[in-house]
Amino acid sequence: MFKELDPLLHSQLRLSVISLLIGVKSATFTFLLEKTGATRGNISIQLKKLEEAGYISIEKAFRDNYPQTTCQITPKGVEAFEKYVDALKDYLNSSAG
Amino acid sequence: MENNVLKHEASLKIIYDMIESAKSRIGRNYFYYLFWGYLVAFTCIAEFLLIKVVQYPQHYLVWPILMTLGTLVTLWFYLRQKRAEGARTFIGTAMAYLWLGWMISLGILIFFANMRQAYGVILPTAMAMYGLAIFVSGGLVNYKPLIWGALLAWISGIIAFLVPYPVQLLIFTGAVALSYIVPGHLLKIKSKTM
Repeated sequence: MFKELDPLLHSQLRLSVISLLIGVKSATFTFLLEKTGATRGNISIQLKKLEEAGYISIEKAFRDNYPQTTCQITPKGVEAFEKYVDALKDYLNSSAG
Repeated sequence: MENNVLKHEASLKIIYDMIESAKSRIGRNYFYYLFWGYLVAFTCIAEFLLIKVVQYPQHYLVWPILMTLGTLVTLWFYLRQKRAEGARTFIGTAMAYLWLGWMISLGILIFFANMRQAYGVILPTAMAMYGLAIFVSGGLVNYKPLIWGALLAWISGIIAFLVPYPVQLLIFTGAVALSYIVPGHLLKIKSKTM
């Protein structure tokens, strides 16, 4: 029996954000915007969903008089990502075999 | 990027592409290697000439002057780079702590060696410490020229303990050229092909 894929991560933009955050200590909103190629509105909505699920933490601060949003993956987010990758492996292995 | 539901292969590709694009690229940091490599090599040669040719008694002053200047330039460059990058990587943070720790250790060494007038141990110990720092740096980013450079720095450190101070300066110049300037140029080439 296959493990269920986390519906929160099984979407293009949210998975991109989590995959970016898994490899870094923290990333700015602009960095995520550039790397994903998403629109500001869309990425804001998806970040909010990930934050509400406890997968990421968002910090808003001022830097050089400009507002700066910084995102960081939480331990819960890391765990969810690892589970997602495990479940994905199962699907891919079964389709290869 | 749309927020579509994904096929499994596409999920895997996204994960791979995003992790790759967020990785810290050592090639971007060639400035530090070239800047410090040339600065230290220049300082060593300048002090050697001040001792042997000019015979200036306060020859050691080149170190505090040029190293303070180097630290200020590095700090300015680091802050500018940090502002522009948008993401803080674990490797970047580890590197920053490693080199900051290295500078603090060097400060302790210089202070107490001067206090006890043990000037001859400063350069060999600094070389050994420098070997440790580039060994860890090379290991963190899996860059072999730095690991070989570390080996060379340690050997140079051992030799430097056995020779007089002006010769130590020449050994340090050679060690820095081979273990910092050469990898720096290789990184510069690498960064342009990435």
